Amino acid sequence: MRTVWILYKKDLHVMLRDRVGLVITFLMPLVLIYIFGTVFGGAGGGQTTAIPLAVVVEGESAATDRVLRALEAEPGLRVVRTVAGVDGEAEPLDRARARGLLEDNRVRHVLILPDPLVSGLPGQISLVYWFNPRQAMEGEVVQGLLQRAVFTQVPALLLDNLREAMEERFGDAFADDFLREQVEVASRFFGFELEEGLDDLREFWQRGFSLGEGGGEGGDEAAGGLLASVLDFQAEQVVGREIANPGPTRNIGGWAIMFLLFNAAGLATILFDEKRAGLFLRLLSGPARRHHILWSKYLFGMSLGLFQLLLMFFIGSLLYGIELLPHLPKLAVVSAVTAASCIAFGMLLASVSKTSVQASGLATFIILTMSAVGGAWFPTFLMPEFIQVLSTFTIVYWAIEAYLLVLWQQAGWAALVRPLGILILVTLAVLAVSLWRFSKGDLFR
Amino acid sequence: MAVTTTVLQIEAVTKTYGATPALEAFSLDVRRGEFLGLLGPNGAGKSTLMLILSGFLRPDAGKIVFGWEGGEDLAKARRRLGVVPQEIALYDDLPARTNLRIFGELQGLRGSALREAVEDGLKRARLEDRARHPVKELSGGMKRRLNLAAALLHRPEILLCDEPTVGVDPQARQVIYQTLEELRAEGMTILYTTHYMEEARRLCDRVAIIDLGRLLALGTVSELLEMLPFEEEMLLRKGSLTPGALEGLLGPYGNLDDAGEHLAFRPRAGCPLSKVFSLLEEAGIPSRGVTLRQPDLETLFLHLTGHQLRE
Repeated sequence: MRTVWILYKKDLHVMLRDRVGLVITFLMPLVLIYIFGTVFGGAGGGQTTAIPLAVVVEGESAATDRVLRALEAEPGLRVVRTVAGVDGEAEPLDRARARGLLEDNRVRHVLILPDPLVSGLPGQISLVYWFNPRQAMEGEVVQGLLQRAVFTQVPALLLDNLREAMEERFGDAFADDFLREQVEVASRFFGFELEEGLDDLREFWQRGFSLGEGGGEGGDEAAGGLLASVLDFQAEQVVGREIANPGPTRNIGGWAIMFLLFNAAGLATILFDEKRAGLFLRLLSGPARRHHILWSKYLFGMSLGLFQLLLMFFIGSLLYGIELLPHLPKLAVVSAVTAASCIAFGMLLASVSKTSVQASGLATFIILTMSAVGGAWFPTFLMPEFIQVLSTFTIVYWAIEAYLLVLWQQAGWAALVRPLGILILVTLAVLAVSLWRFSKGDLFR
Repeated sequence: MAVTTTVLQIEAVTKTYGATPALEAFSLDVRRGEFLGLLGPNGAGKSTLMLILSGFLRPDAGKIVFGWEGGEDLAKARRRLGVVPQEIALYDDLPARTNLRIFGELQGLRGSALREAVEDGLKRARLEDRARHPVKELSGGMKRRLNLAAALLHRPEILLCDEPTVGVDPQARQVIYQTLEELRAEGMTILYTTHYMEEARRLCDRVAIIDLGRLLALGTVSELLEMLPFEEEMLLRKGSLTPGALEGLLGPYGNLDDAGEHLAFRPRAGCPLSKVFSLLEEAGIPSRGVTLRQPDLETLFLHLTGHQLRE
């Protein structure tokens, strides 16, 4: 153990001597958390940039106004209705211009509101959606937003259409008679005053179909109109309601493990550098043994990684209000286990590679693949099913799971047993394979 | 100086890399306190032997026994060995003193013994005034000296030096030679690989000539040179001489080789040089273009292997 400690101190000494490296070591977590936090909406209060949606209006009507208002009220969309013409003047979009914008990748989504938007009885709404699937996920998001903004207006559009058609065909008097008949029947069955009910229904007839002026955030408000009277929709967030900054809180585990994997790659290449410098020969010709070198490197990489992670979380709590203090012991344990498994992968990389370049290339491949598949970049539910299964074979997945349990679900120790247990088992297995490979591989030859 | 005790016995050591043999049944006895040079070209097997002796490589076959109690235990032997690798095996970013301290600590030195060893190492390396400088800021020669000093901290009984003067300027080389000579004077056994015959001639008590993983000859320089069948070799300035014609003239009496600006003629055993001079005179070759030279280890190597030491 003393030999391991001496070599450990040596690594610390080497690190402290390299001032630039030292700054990078401690600045990197800060920069990373800032960049990722900003990317994932931490700095902007969780808001993402609105996606441009080109809207072609082919005929003005109350129905198109209603849809346009709903689209414009949707915060996830930025409605574009004009394009600069040849003389620089803004010209309304038509199909040809919209297609041009799409082909030039100036917009990726076009919604066409044809003339008429609603036709026939009881009414058929026609919408045309053109898109450029350059970013598959964005397409999914836009379609979701369209659903929220436009489709919630569908009942209102159809009933408006029905009322207009009835009034046009039979006149206002018929409508009043029609209402009276309905209320009489209802009052007989439910026993309320005819005039009182009739007033309510008249008001509803005139106003009631003018549902929620907005979609999007106004979706719930829209439901307050006719939709609310037929569908009582109440959304409730069960987990994470009280979390101040959900974006970074949800994602910081993924960033942390990616960070550690890069550390592990660095460790693998350092081993080769020391070998190339003849240091292994010098060390091994003395009392130090291979396992001393390997364990000192492992423990150093692990403790450095753990320290950097905790620093990263600390900065995250300062910048983005990630709640840290109540979870500190669990966070430290999860980080230690995660660091242990990531650095074990670094050892594995070194043990199966023949050169530093090989180790570096292999590390890049593994880091990118494991981070992507494991869910460090995007939530795994967005991935195909087989990738979701594959993801459970990565340490990234289980580390993220553990971090989510601590930070998002604020779970107890018992809930951590499974992900941490799996990580520890994987770590032990990877270390065992690494040690076996080191005895067979080229690092010590 | 009567040096007879064997401090290291290498018995039929064999090592191959894939299908390539690096050492083939290599045997050698090293005497206590001697400076033994391993002379051979690149790829001769010198470094492989050093790696095996230092415990970094395992031989495929054969045995290594050190001349002390329990001398077959190579793990224990390591504390009594000092290794100077061919590479500058130092931590580049750390100061000279810190490097020595780390290696001293790893050798088990503590407290005042460690401090003394470090200061002594800096002194040996002539780096007292550069002790705080990171290794990367030192010159190549300084690094080589420090590389040597790092192997001496624990006062090893046997020092294994693998071409410690590679890439070193003549001045720094002299410092290394002086240090090694001091160590020999202190009674340290030194095993030294080189492909510079000048080094072997200057430093070594005995020289082992190695090629293709085999020991070709072993002895003092003078003993080795006595193995040659001639006392002097003849150098003929090329000028207008035709190698083909000369080969026909001198071939039956010895070997003729290209030696740069000259053709080197090495007479066979029993062929006096006066006979060669007569032949040249009869052929009308003027004697003013002919010089005589004492053979050296390079000549011996060529004689033993048929190729140059630095090929």
